[in-house]
Amino acid sequence: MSQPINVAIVGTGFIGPAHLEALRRIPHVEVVALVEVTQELANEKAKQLGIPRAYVFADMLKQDDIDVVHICTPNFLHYSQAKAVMESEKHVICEKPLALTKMKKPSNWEFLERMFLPICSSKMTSM
Amino acid sequence: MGIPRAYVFADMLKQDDIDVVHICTPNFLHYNQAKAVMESEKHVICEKPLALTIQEAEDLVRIAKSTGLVNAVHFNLRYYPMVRQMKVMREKGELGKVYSIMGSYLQDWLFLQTDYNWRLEPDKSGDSRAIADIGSHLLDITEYVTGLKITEVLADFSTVHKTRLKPLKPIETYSGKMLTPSDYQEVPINTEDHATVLLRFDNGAKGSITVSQVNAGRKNRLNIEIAGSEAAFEFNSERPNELWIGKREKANEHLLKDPSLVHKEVSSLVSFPGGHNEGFPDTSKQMFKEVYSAISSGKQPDKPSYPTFADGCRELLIGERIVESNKKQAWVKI
Repeated sequence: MSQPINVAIVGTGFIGPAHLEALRRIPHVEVVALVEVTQELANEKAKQLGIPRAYVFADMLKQDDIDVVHICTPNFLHYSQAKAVMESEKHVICEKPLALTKMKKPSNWEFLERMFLPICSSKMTSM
Repeated sequence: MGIPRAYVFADMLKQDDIDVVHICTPNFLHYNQAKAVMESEKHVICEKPLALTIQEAEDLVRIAKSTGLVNAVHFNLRYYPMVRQMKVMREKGELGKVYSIMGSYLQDWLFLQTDYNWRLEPDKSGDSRAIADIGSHLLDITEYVTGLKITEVLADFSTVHKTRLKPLKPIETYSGKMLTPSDYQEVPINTEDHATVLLRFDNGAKGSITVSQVNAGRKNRLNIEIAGSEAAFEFNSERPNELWIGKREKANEHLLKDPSLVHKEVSSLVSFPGGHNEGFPDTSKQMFKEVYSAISSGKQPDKPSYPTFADGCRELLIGERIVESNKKQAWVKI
C-alpha cells in the first residue's frame, strides 16, 4: 500500500470544510492538521471537524510530516501564505484568487514553481 | 482503497476496537452477517434488502431490539433533501389529505439480453428483482413521505428477456473485445424485468408504481407524484435538487434546493448553498450523519430519524406480498 499523503487545511470558513470533505473521498490522502488564527480556535475547529492536530500557521509550517497545504483563507492572505508554504518545501493548493495583484510575484517564483509543481490554480500570468 | 486493515469476516468480528460494520455484500449474505455482527456487539448498517425472507428479517429486528444496538438499512434515497422536504411539508399540512400516489423507478442497465449480473440469479438475490432492487426504494419513499401504510397490492410482472446470455468468463477478461456466441451460456430468467403494482393505502388513497430495468435511456429515474387536497408534489431522482409543487388556484412552484428555502427541519440535510448541486453520494453522507449521531450516543434512539431494520423488514413484507399477488394474479393484503 502506498504511503498516505499528509495534508493541512488552513482556514475553516465556507470552503475549508468543502476541501476537507473532498479530500476524505480520496484514498491515500489524510487530512492530519487544521490551521486557524489562534491555537484556541484551531483546537475547537479541529475537534469539531475530526482532524487530529491543530496549529497556528507558523507552527504548522514546521511540521516535517505535512506534505501538502490547502489555503482556504480570505483572499488577502493567499499570497503570503502560499509563498511561506512553498518556502517550507510543501506542495500547495490555493483557493482562488491566487493573490490580490499580479505584481506580487516573488523574486524566486520560477525556482519555486519548478521545485514545487503541482501548484494550484492558473499561473500568475493569466490573472 | 487506502484502508489500513484487512480481514476475512470472522477475523473482523474479533476486533474489539471496531464499533460499526457496514454490510455491502450480495443479498444472500445479509442475514447471517448482520446477525453475527450484532452477536459480536457491534452496530450494523446493512444494505437492502435486509434479508432474503421475512422470517430472517424478523429475526434480525428481534435481535436488534434485544441488544439495543444501532441498526440501519441503507434506504439512502430518503436522504435527498427534497424527499425530506416533501415529508415535512406533508407533516405541516401543506400537502393536505393524500388522494393518490403514482411512482416509477426506471433503469436500463439490464436492457440487452447480454446484460448479466448476480442479481439475475434468485439463489443470490432472491425471488424478486426489479421490485426488490428498486421498487423497495420507491415503496420506502412512498410510505416515508406520505406517512401512510400500504394495505393491499395487485401486481403484474413481466420478464422481458425469458433467457439471458451469461458470459462464461469474467467480463473484464474481454474488455475492449467483442464477445462471440461461444463465450456465452443461455440461461433461463425467472425474475421480473418490469412490474406494475396497484396500491391501496390505509387512508383510502390509491396509487400505482411501475418499475423497470429495461427502459432504454432511463438510468436511475425514480419519479414520484403525490396528489393531495392542498397541493401535489413531483420529485425525480435524476433532478434531485428540484421539487415541483402543483397548485390549483395559483401558479405552480418550482423549489430549488437551498438551505434558506427548504423547511428548517430539512436544512441539516443540505451541505452547500443553493445552486451548488448535491447528489446520490451525498444521500449516504446525510444518512450516515444521522446514524452516526445515534452511534455516538451508544444505542438506537426511541424514534430513529433514519431507516431501521424494522423498515427493512417492512419492505421485505411488501415485496413478498407483491410477488404473491403476481403469482395469484389477485389482490393480496399486506
